[in-house]
Amino acid sequence: MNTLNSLADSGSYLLTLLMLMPTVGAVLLCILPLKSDGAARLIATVFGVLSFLLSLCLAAKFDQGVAGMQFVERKVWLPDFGIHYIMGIDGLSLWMIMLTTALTLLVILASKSIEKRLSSYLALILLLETGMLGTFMALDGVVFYVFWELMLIPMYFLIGVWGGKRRVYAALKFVLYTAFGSLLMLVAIAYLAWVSSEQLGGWSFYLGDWMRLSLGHKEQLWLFSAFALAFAIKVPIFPLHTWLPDAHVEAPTGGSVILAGVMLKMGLYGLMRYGVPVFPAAAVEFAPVFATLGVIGIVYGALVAWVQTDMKKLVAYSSVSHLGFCVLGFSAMNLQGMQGCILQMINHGVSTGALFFLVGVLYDQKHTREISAYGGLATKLPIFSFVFLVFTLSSIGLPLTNGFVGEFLILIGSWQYDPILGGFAISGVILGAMYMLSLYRRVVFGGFDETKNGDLVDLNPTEKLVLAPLLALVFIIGLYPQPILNSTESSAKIILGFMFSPKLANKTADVSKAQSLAFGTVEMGKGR
Amino acid sequence: MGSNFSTLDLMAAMPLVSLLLGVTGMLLVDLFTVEKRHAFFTFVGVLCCLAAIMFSTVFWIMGDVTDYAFKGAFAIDRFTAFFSYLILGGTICTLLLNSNQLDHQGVRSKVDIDVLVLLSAAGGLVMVAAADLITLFLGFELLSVSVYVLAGTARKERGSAEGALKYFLLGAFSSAFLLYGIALTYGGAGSVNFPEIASAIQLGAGSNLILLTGLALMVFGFAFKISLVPFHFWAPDAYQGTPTSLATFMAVVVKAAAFGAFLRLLTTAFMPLSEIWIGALSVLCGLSMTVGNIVALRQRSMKRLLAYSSIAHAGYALLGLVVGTADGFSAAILYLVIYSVMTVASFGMVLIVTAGTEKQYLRDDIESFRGLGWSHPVLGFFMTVALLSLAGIPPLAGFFGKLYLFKAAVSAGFIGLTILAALNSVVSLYYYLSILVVMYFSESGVKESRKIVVPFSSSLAVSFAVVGLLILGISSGRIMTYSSEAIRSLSERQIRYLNLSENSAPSVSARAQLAAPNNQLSR
Repeated sequence: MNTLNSLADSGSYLLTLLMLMPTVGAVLLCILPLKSDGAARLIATVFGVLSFLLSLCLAAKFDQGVAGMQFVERKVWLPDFGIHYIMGIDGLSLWMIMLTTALTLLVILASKSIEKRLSSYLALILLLETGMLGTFMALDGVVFYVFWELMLIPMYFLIGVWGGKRRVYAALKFVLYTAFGSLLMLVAIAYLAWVSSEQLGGWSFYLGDWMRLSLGHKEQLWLFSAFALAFAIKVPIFPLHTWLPDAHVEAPTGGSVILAGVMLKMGLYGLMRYGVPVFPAAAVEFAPVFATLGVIGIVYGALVAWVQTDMKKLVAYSSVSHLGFCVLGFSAMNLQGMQGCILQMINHGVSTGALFFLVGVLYDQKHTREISAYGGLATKLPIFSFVFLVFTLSSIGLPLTNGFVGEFLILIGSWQYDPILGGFAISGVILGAMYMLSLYRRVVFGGFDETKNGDLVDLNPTEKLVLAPLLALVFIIGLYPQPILNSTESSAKIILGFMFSPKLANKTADVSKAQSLAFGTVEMGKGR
Repeated sequence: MGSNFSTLDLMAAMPLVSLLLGVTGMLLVDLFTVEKRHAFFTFVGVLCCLAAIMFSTVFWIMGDVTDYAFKGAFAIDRFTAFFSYLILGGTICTLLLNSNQLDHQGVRSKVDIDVLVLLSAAGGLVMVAAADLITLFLGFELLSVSVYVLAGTARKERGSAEGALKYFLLGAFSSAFLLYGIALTYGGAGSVNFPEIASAIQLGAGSNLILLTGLALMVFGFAFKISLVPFHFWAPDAYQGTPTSLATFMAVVVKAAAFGAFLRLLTTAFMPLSEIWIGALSVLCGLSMTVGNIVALRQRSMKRLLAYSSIAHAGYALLGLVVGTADGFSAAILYLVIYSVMTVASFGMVLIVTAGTEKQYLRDDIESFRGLGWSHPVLGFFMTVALLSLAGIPPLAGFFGKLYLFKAAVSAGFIGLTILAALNSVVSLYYYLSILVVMYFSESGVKESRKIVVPFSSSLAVSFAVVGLLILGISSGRIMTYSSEAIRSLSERQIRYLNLSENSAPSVSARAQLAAPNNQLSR
């Protein structure tokens, strides 16, 4: 029918296997009559580990020298409508997938604090993993949308059933906000498929086909807005962030970790995978808006975080600020910014995920997240305090930690892009140090209240097991970020290639070049 | 045609005959037996429906190009077959839901109910096959009168009597509208036969004010039966007052039959006037979606909530009609199928959960669902699937139905209406999720966990529906092929007819006109 034929099936089922693995676990958890929580946790852990091992296998087989989609799977799904099941990953998706499987496994391990209906909780976490993995793999608009929406429902239940006092409000707000953006995206997806039928001679939802469409300027702006709204809500970009503090505060620890660690990255991932390649001119035109909003997010998030009295809310607003950095790096439209953005997406997953775990450790024992309820933990909980310190510093972006590399790259990139915005962004780094250190000071230093907090205990072995790999990652990425930078470099270059193609006005010619860069290897059938 | 004539008539009548045989048999057995086992009657009823489905399959096999039976009164084509399947499938589900559950809903005379259901289904079959206005009205009345009685069968319930009376009075008005419309159309076009009306319009009757008034009145009549805003006021009361299993019938079969007949009427008789009715229908479509969803937000009674949601879904399905292309029509009838399955699942669950409780005709039956997700995990899962599909969450069937509708609407240039539909889906998400809140999130206030008795037949109907929702979407390619085949068989006839009536018009242009009659209008 059209270029669909150019993207060959690589004959590998690794992606589908990985994507379905958690679902199998979820189904088993639902149908097996599990007597004890231990058995449920065992099953979930087994499937979490299997998924993680599969993603490691993916990373081992991944060819860094190839710029384009690998492990491509392409099956006809609904042929009359040009809907195909197309999966494939590049360096960007690979790291997101690794982050997903790793954090999900840690969340499963840390599920001891869940007091009720553990097997349902674990089943939902696994189902959520399938949704996230599928989103990072999908190369067909409809498949992408299916997974994108599939993530909503498990998270809705996680917040609503296991959440805090205002869980119903937070869960509904989260779903409605997200659905509002994504349903408009669905209209845009339908529109793009129709344009393909006009221009390419057949309905198509395939990303590679969409890149070849020549869309009018106004058309691009509207369609990009529809996609960008869905993505911006997910990131969240200021001023669409208001669902985030509620969702984070009310969600159980595991839910917050996945929400912050992986789901917030979906928005930027979507912009990079769909927004820029399909609507390059509109993306370039919107870049200053995004950059400005990103900087506002950095400063606003940091200032609001500073005045929080609730630890989880503070970390949630710090996410707004950190994601602002990512957005700024993304819209700086240079290699440093883009790579910094991708690296910071991973870093944020590591450090903020860990911070949510740590808040959870305290909350599980005292059932309060008020900062004023704690103090002087350094004497009583030395290991906790040390780990907390490391992640605080990583969140601030101290050199030698992972946060430094990402933020530094973004700042370089944004400085090149616009010194004024770069200057404001740097103020965000200072503000970040202020609110994080003040949190640390109030919780860890000062006088210890023996009557109130005498029964607090330090990290238990499970918690150490969960936090140790994240702790290691802080320093590994901080000292040697090269593997990540190498494998995402080609993805970043391709995305920038779309933004900087010299003939944006006449899109077809240069985009086919960018496309052959993006999909070139598989076109030659070299993909595995 | 002469030698085939009687064979065709017989074929056209066979589905009806099998239903009516069942009706007669059931009444006779009921008369002469003392020990009455309802399951037996259910079995007979289902068997009759299956026989009718079998006979309708003949329509499908030979209905590639339409044949007429009964001197042009009956159309035998794939469209007829498609809607017959839908109507009969809905009837089977209703019978299964009725079985063993009528007692718990305060209904006494059980066999009569099943008989009326079958009669009403026969009326539906006549409606969707009707190719002239008189036959259409006959089917319309056979369907309606039976349903008026069904609506009031819970005689001791005040709500039931109120709902039935409202339904009857407003229904009588709608029949009157339809009949008056038929009379005016006959006056304006000089014929009651659909293709002849079309050719009369092409020859200049389209500007005739009498004909246009007739069209408008008929649209009112159908809008009432499909419960489109602003003709929807009966629906919440009637659904709430009617025993739930029969409300399922009203929401599925009556709506499907009316929609099918409406679609055939508009596309075969009034296609040349498409610009006029598309304008009117797009208003009804936008209103139904918006009002249905917004009013549903405030409902605390499950049946009223589902009634308003069914109004909204009728609006979505109408979007496909408004689009006015073959793509849109097939998306609309596919959506109707998916809507029917969702309705069987959700109403069936309401029936299972509320049957036998005192609350089923009162306002607060949403409370019956409190904590259901944890106390009855399987029932909770079924209800969750039904609600999420209604809300259009992928990968359930409801999502794919919407996707096809959006696709058809966007490709015909109706972007504004599509965005309105998308926004409405967000609104609807709120109240569907609120039911999940009751089912899962608030465990406080659950009284001692109630034992819910699930009769085998009800569980059969609901499980079929839920499995359908799980797989219908993912494998919707096949059924979409069927629905576009059904629409194509409608168009084939139109093309053939246009060729016969206007020899000058080449078939290509006629086909183009059918395929995209409103492209210039919409852009």
